[in-house]
Amino acid sequence: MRRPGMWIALGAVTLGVVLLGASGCGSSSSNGNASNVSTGASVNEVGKPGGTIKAAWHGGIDFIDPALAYYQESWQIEYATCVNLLGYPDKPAPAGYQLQPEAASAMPTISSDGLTVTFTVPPGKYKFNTGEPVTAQTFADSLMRDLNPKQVSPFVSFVASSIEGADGWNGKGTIPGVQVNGDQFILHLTKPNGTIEAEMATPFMCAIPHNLPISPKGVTSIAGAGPYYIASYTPNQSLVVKKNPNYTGPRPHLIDELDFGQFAIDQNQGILETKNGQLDWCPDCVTAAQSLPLSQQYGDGSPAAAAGKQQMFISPEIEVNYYAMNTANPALSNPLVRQAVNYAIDRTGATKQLGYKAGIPTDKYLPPQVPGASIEKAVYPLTPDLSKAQALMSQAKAAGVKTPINVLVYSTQGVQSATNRMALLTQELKPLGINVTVKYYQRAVQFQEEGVKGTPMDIADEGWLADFPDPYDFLNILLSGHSILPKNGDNFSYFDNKSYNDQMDAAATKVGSERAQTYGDIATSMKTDQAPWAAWSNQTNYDFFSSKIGCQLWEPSYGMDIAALCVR
Amino acid sequence: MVRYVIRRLLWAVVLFIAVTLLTFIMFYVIPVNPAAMVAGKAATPAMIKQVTHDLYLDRPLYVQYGHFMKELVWNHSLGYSYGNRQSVNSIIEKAAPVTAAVVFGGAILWLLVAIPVGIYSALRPRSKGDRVAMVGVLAGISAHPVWVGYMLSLIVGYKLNLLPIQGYCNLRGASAGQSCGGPYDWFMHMLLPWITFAILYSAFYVRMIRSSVMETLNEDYVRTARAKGAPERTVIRRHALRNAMLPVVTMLGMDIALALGGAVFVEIVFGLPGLGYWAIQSVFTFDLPIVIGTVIFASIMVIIFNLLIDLLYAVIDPRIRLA
Repeated sequence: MRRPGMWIALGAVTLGVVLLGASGCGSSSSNGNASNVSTGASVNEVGKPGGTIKAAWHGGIDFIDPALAYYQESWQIEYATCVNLLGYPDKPAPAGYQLQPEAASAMPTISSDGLTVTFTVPPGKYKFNTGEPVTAQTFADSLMRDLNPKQVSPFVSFVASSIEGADGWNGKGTIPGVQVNGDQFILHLTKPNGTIEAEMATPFMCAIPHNLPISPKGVTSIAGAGPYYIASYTPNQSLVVKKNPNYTGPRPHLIDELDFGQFAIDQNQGILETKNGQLDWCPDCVTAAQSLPLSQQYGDGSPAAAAGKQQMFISPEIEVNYYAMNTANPALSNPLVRQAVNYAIDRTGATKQLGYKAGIPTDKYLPPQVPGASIEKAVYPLTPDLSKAQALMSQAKAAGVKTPINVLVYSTQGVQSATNRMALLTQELKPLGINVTVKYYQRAVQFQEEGVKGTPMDIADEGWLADFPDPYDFLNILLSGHSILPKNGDNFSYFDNKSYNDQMDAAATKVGSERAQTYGDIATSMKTDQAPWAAWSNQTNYDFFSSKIGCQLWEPSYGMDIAALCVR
Repeated sequence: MVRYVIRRLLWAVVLFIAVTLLTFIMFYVIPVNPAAMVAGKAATPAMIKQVTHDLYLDRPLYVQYGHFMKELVWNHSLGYSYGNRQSVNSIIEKAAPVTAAVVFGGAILWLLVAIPVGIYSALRPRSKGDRVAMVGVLAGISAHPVWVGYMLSLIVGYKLNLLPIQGYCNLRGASAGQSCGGPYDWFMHMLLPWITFAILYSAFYVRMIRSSVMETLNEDYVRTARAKGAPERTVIRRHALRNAMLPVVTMLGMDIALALGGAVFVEIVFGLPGLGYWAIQSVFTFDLPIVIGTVIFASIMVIIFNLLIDLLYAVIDPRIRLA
């Protein structure tokens, strides 16, 4: 998922881009609190209906148009205002990331060859706030609008190649692979696609009203069929979300209204206003400097939490921070050297530099919320094992690698934690005979520079936030040779191993536990043998509320669940 | 006089072209691919190609500049944000009044403080009051507006709860999603930004007015007026202050024009979505059309204010128009 400056965000959360604990709002009769970093915010509380939440963003959203919205904050809004064919329930992990039917009456039927996917959509099961019913045609409209080249939707890159006739569609007529037959929405695929269900559950496939115009600039007014709808939106200024009067689904919807009255709030001021109740919530306001004092005063285990009014929550994202080692350049082309790097780095130390509980150290490629993560084995230590690293370097030298090795690292400019991390990396690799030179870029430039095939970059200081909780979104997108493009690629390690490419392609067609097992095994094997990355942490997210807000629930895919919130 | 005006106008046009050209080149040589930014992180090569074409990025730089100027001059369009594809015109239209409110309100406040204090200090140099004023000046110049803003918010807004901590309210009334609006809310929300803005500038102006008045008081014509028996109040008001204020007017014109380009610190601290806020946000996200838009708008403001001051000077001082 695109993030407005991942490391900037990280520096703010730590600054500024998963899982939960217990059940949703109103689902329990007990009145208590629970939250820890590994599961995320989850408050068991009987919420009362009604009330308005006053909120503000430091950074704001990009779009409310489902075809274009791609910021984490935008998806948080979409999750509250959308109905999808399939959706993630408002429940803590692990149930919270298990897809279930939403507008569809059941999970789709997939033909034996895996090429035809059929969703049945009972017409009128859901209605927009305008009264218009959601039908099978609604989702065909949504998909066709996304795939229209004039709309310039990022969703094209997700599904176009797997839907018959979608790749290269000029926006005129129909797409052979998208059909509606009565209450059935049918997709004809070019190849079996194990992620099609997850893709159909992304906000890009949000139900949209019939005849919503093509708008490459994004519509600023749209009806919603979810528990809430967007009542008004002024770009860069304000957003009002109100309860959908026609919603009859099972999702929580207690508050009447959520007002984002400001998109440009200073983070320190946002916290002050939230503390004194002028504001109820600023989702992106807690900085690294504030995280510890706020946690001590209002977080898990604080006096506020003991009194049943926890205000500060730290929750895990479906994210991985990693050093992508460029396998195409000579410096780190030998797997033994890359393995040595994996043994030499201090994952715990690097994570601590992000801020208070701002991350969870790991060596895994797959974040814990993603199927297959529990299968993937931990191979490398969380604190440096220098003797093992040096032994591997000795083997590498015996195999012809010459030291010193000079490596060029690309990192993010203006983020203190990145600067600190680079200093740490430089010291960690020095004993191995690896000399580090760091080049800092503005975040927007950094990933563009890293994505140019042939880049002189040897290590990319990177992070990836999931579009959906599936291993495909990590391994295939970030480590398959197919993701290497002349420009704008995502495979920053330029890892292009035929055996692994084939394994990942095959895994992408699998479903269920077989899929999880296969991806977990691939991650373990790739990490052990080839080590194209040195993964080092999974990021967490901070949320700070005023004392009057309750029922906080961290939804694994979309963050703090707006639909679940209540006013005490 | 007419020739002088025409000459200044022509220079203003040349300056405008130079500013737009330099700004355009400066931002378009930055190694970032605008098409990739517009198309998004998950864009396909085909999408990037299409956006590249739509943005004229596949043409030579001079063609791009020509297209940019055509859009600016003929269609009055500054383009569209890479981030959310909103019109830069609409962003500036909304941001300019916010910045204007900060700057003009702040200017009134700083003049209300600086003129009496500056004159008092000039008339009673090295008195206790003058020394206190100079210490205040030193503090005002030394204290960074961000720190001043945070302190005011913390003490006046948070601890004493006398004024809103931050935020902006529409003068005409609350818009959707905003809990405040109307003249009273607008005024209350602007007070702390004005004070923050005024602290820095009033310090400069106190010092400038003090030295200007002191200098004028030593002029021969002031001595002559006193020798002729004019009352001290008349000497100060009619002879000293009117002349001492000339450089202040000049500076005020320049400062307001420059500050319109972005009262950056004040806007960021108080969450005011003005030009400065947008300029900074856009620099961080490489949203070049907004950066270019704010820079060009600020430049136009500076050009216009300079032109006005030049014309005003020509009216005041005949020697200038003859030069």
